[in-house]
Amino acid sequence: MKKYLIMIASSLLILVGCSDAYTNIKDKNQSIVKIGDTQITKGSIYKDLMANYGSYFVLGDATEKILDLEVETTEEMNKLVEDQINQYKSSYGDSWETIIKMYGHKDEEALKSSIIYAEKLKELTKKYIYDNYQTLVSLYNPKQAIVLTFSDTDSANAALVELKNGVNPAEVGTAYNSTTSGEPQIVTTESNFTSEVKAILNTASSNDDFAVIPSADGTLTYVIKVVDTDVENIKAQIVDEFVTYSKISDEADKFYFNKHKFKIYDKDLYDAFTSNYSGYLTK
Amino acid sequence: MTDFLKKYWFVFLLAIIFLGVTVFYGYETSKNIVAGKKVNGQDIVYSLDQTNVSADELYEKLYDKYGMNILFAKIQKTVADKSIETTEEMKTNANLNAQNIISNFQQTYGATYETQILNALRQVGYTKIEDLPEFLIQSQKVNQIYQDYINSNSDEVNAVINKYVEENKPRLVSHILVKIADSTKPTAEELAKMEEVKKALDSGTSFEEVAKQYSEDTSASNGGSLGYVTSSTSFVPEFLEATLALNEGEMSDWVQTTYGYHLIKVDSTNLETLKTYKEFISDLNKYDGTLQPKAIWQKAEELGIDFGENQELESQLKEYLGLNK
Repeated sequence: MKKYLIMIASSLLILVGCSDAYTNIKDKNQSIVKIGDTQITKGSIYKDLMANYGSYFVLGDATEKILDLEVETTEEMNKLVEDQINQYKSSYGDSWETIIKMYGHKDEEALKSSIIYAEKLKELTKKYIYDNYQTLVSLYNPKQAIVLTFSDTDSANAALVELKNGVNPAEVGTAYNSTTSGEPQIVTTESNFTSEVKAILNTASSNDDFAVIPSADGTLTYVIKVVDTDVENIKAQIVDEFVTYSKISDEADKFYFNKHKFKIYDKDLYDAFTSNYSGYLTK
Repeated sequence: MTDFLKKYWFVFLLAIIFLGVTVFYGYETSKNIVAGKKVNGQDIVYSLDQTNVSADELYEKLYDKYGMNILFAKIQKTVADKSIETTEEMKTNANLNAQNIISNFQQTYGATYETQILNALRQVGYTKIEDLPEFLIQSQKVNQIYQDYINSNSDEVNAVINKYVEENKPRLVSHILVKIADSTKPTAEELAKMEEVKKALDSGTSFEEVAKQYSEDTSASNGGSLGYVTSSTSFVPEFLEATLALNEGEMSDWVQTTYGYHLIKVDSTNLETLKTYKEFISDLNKYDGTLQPKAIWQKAEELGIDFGENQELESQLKEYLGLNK
């Protein structure tokens, strides 16, 4: 009985005395340089590297691994890389390698990796959007619409007459100096329009005709028309619009970190992630 | 057994309570502990699914990208600590500056000020907000080493200083301003004031006193002193041109600008005087970014820097710092 009591007590004390883990490299005590009687070891360099750059670097390193798992490198991406490299070489001539070094790329291979990384990241976000399409559509209420912006009501009204006569909206926009193009665009709850325009766009359907909407402060007049509200019909355009939203790309990143059970085993790194990237830590 | 329990019921009650508290505390503590992981004797930093990334793997990648920067920062810190004693004045300055920094960050960032300070400290190798005074003491020590190097009068340093002085024409400058409402049509009153200023100077009153009495510029209370000026100081072109054309002790004629009419005086172009100005030291550092690393390297050599078998590393570091040029 006494032995069992001692065992239980010891286990509890060990549990209570558990502490956080801190990583280090195998040859942490290897001396790099000595100044007088003070040694600077590989282990201390590791600690400082992690303190200075750890969280940011690990975020990128882990993202790269997730991209390799989730997104294929396509011929299209390779072609894009080749085109961009050729553009750099053509723009900067012999000093192109010096220029890319100034932008933080060690060499041509590093620049290529960086371009591929950016393309794959976009594809990952697209993948997330396609997988969560209905939820995102409910949240952002996307539609395809024409929005022309005029600095005076007379221009807006004149433009309206032309539009009702069937003149191409892009041409009308140009003719009456609209500051937004007359091309159909995807509008959402995140679009940068005034509240009056958003209110109309929120409820309008493709059956509604062109509407003239003055801004609340009277400085601008909008002519708007919803063209398409069928989110399946305009899915590709909606996805292209959503991919530009940092809210969605951040959400996508965090989703995949959680999906692949990203886990940290170093207390300092964990604290850095808690401060700066808490959404990436697996719940 | 029952009799034993009846006799010692209070002891058992205390034991159960103690057990409960210990289990609860242990659970609560362990819930937030960051557990470690080792694979093949190597510390694992992070994992994704079944992929483990070790500290050694991460070290190679981080060192490749940032190793030289960190190595020099560590050498600098070691050199500063070994060669400059921490004085009470340094500690007082550091604590005061730390309070100011915290206060500024609180005003700028509100509730997230601590995170912002911590992020900034992490960039320079510190991991806690409590390290802020220590970082500031370090900065003072490094500045001291750099200042001593600038004042060392070595041929190499003097060559850089002379080139900087020739290109940038640093000087200490004062002025007296008489504001003119319409520079094309000065009023009789404005002209009379300009006359008074000239008379006062001609009578032997010092430039400083005349500035205090007559100048219509905020520098008046400081005897008209504008402090440290160089060819890249953002003055209006007419003022700057006139300033740079003067030698030490000389005063300009009236110089017209959009502010009015100025009398400009160069108080000093003396190098030993200019070296006492932090603007001079800071500008010199921007002019030649290798001076500070050279200062640290020289001090390191005095203390006995030894790379042992890592001679290649020494060359790489010198290359990185521009010390080989």
